[in-house]
Amino acid sequence: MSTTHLDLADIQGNVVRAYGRFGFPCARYYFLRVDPAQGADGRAFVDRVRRRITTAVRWRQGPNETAPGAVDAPDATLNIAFTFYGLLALGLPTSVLARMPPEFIEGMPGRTYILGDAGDNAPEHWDPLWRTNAEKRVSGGQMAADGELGHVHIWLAINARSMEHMETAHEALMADIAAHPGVSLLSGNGAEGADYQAASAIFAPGPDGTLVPTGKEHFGFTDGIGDPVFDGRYEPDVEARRVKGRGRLTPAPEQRWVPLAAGEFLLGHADESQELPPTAPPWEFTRNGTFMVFRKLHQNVKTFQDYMAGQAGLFGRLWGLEGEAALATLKAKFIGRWSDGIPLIAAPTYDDWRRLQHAWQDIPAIALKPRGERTPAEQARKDAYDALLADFTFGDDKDGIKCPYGAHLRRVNTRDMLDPELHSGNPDARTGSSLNKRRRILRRGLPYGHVDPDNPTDDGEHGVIFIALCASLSRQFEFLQQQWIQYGLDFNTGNDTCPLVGNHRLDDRLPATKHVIAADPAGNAPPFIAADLPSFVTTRGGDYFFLPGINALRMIAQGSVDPT
Amino acid sequence: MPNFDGGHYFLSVLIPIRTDVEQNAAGAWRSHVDLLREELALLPTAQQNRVSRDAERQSPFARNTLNHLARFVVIDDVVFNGRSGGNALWERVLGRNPLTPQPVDRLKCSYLFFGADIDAASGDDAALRRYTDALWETMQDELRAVLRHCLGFEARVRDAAGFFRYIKDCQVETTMPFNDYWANGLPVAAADTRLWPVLLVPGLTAAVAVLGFLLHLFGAGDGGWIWVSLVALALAAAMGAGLYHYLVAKAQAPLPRAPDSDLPSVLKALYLQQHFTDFAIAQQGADDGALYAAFRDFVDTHKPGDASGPTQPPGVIAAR
Repeated sequence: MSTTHLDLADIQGNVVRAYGRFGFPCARYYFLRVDPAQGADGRAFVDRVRRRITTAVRWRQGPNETAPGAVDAPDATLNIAFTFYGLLALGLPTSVLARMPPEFIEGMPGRTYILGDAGDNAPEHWDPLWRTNAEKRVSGGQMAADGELGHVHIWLAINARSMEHMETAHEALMADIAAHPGVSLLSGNGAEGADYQAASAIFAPGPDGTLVPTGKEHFGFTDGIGDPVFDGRYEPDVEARRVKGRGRLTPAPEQRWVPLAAGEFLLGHADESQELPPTAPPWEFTRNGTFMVFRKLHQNVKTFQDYMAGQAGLFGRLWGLEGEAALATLKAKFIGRWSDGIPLIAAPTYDDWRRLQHAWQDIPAIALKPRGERTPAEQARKDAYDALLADFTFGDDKDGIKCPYGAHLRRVNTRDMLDPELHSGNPDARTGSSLNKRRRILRRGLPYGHVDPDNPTDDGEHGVIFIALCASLSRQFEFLQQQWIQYGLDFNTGNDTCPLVGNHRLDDRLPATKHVIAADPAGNAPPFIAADLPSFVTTRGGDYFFLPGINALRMIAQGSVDPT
Repeated sequence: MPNFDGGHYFLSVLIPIRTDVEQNAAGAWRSHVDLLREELALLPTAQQNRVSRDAERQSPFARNTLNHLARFVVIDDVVFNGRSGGNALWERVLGRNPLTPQPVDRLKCSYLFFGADIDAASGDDAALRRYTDALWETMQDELRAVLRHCLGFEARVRDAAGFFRYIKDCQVETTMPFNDYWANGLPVAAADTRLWPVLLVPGLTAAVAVLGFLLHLFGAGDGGWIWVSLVALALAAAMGAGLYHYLVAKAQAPLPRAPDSDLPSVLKALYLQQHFTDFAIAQQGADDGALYAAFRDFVDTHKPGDASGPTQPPGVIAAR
C-alpha cells in the first residue's frame, strides 16, 4: 500500500516513466544557450515552453491505466532541465545558486576524476558540443579563459510515438526558439555536428515479421529492467507486483520488497535515511524536482563482438561448451543476464536458459499487444515473466558461482549482496539491501545510431544516451560510477572495473583490467579470467542538470525564485 | 599495553609547537606553526596514488621497511563544539543563566601529532628505539626540518639517543590501536570467553549478602544475620573489584601477531599477488606438463617463500 501521495501534475513526466517503454520509441535531445545579457528573454522562453511540459499524471496506458483520473497519453512529450550555468544565465539569485550541490555546480566535465573520464573518455575526445561546454565551465577550480558562463544551459527532450509526431513537436519547438533571440540552439552533436541528439529504440522483426521496437542496446542485451520502484510511482496494485526486485529489501526477519522512499528520487520528500535530501532554498523551488545526468556513451560494437568471439574459444574448451553456447555464456557472465534479460540467477547455464526461453516463448507476442487487448491469462503470463526478470536476490548466489561478482548486473544494483551478514550463517541477522538503497538511480534515455549486426563497427555514431535521475548526484550516480563501475573493492575484485562499461585501461604501465568468472567447485571447469579487456564503451559527452517541478518552472519564468 | 598489539607498535606522539616567531630572509616575521605546515606540505608522500606515482621524490618513510603507516597532523586547538545545551527546565532548577558564557577549552599551544604503525617485537623501549634509530639514520634531514619548529628540539636532540628520548617524552598512549591484518577474523573466538566460572563465587557471596539482609529485616535469628550480610557484602565488593581488574587486564593483553603481517611479508604478498595473476592468465588452458614446467619457472623466478626478495619496494603502488 502506497503511503505517499505525490502531486504528479507538479512532477515532470520522465521522472516516473521511461518513455521508450510506453510506445515512444524515438527521442530528440536539444541543448540551448541563454545569452546572459538577455536573461529576461531567456525567462520568456521558459515561460513559453513550460506550458507544454509533460507531467507525471497517470495515463490510460501502461501499468497505471486503471488509476482514477487517468488521462489520455499525448503523441509527443516535452521535458526541460537546466545546468548550473543555465540557472545563472536565467538570473537566479546567488543565495539560491550558492547552495546548490558542488557536483551540480562543477558539472560532469569538472568531475572527470570521480567518473573515470580519462584517456579516451576525457573531455577533449567528446562531441564538439560537449568539448566546447567542458572548455567553458569551471573545472578543477579553473575558470574558463573567456569567462563565458558556460555553454550548454538548457536541455529539452521530445519523445514521440512516431516520426510524424516528432516532426510536429520539433517544428513547434523551433518556432519557440526562433521567437527568442536571447536563446540559441547549439549544434555540435555527434561527429557531424547535428543540431540535436537523436535517439531511438533499436527495431527488430517481431513474431509476425514486422519491425518492432526492442528494449535492447547495441551489444544485443535487454536494458533497463531493474528500474527502481519508489513510493507513489505506481498505483498500489501495480506497486505490489512491480516492487519485487525493484524496491528495497527489508532487514530480517521480514526480508520483503517495499518501495524505495520518494526522497531518493524527488527533492522535498523524505529519503531512505529519514531525512529531506539537502538542497538549495526556497522549498517550493526544489520540491518535486530532481537532478539529471545526461551522458552520451559510445559503444565499440566491433571490439566487443571480436573480443567475445576471441575469448569464447578458450572459455568454451575449458567449460565444455561449443559455438553459440560458449559465446552466449561468456557474454552473460559479463553482463549478469542473458541477451533477452533472463538473469543468470534464474538460469545459470546455457541449457537452463534455453529451457526457460522455450517455456516462455509466448511472451514476445503478448508483449507486442497493447495492454488493453491482452486476456487476463496473457496479462498474468506477462506479469509472471516480468517477475522472472526482476524478482531475485544475490543471497541465492553468495559466492558468485551463477553470476560473477564483477558482472555488470551485480555492480550497478547490488541488491542484498553487500549485506555484511550474508555469509554469517545467521539468516535472522540479514540487513536486506541496506547498503544499496541509497545508491539507486532512475534510468531513462535510449540507444542512438545504427549498427548492422552482421557487420558491426566501432566507428560512427552509435551507443546509448544514458540518462539517470536521482536526488543526489554525488551520493547516487557518482558513487555508483566511482566505486562500483570504476573500482572493485566492494566486490572483492580489487582494481577491476565493470567489465562492460568500466574504463579498462587505468594505467598504461599496467595490464588492462580483467574479469574473473568463478566456476562451480562441484564441477570440472576451472575459473576463467577474461584478461586484457579493451574498452567497450567510451564517453562522448554530457553534463549534470536540474530537472525542476512544474511550479519551479513558473518561478524561473517569472524570475521569482527568492529564498528570503 | 595498547601501544603494542598484534605484533605491531602503534606510536602516538604529541609534540608542542614553538610559540615564538622567526624572521625569514625577507625580514618578515613568521609563526612556527605556519613554517611547520609549509615544511609538511613539501614533504613528499608515498608514490601510491595516480598523482604521486610519477612524483620526482619518494616519501622519506619509504627508506625503511618498518612503516605500515606514518602520519603527521598539526593540531591547532581543541574543537569547540559550542555551548553545552541542556534541558531548559533543568538549567533553570540549577540556576544557570543562559546569558552567561560557558568556559571555552583552549590548548596552550598548537601540537604536532605523529602517528605510526610499525613492525615491532614488543611494546618495550628497545622496540621503540629500533624504530627511532631507523628514522634518525634514514631521514635525519627531513626530521630536523620539521621538528626544529617544535619546542625544545634543537636544544635537546643532537643524536639518535636524543631523538629517542625526545619522542619518548612526547609519547601518549595509543588507547585504540587498529589494523586489519587478521583478515579471517581474530583468534579470540578460540579463547575461553565463558564468564560464569569466574562469576560463580562472587555471585553466591552477593546472594548471601542479600539473603542475610532480608533475614535481618524479617527478624530471623537473634540479630546475627546483619553481620553475616555485611561481611558477605564486603567480600562480594572485594571480589567484584578483583574481577574487574582481572577482566580489564585480560582485555589489554596484546593479540598475537597475525601470520605474515610484518611489512616485508606484506610487500612480498603484494608482489606475488600481481605476478601470480599474470601467471594464472598466461597459463589458462595449458596442459599438465606445460603448467608444471611454467609453475616451476614461476617458483624459481619469484621465490614465494622468501620475503627478502624479489619483492615490491615500500612506498609504491605496484610491483610492475
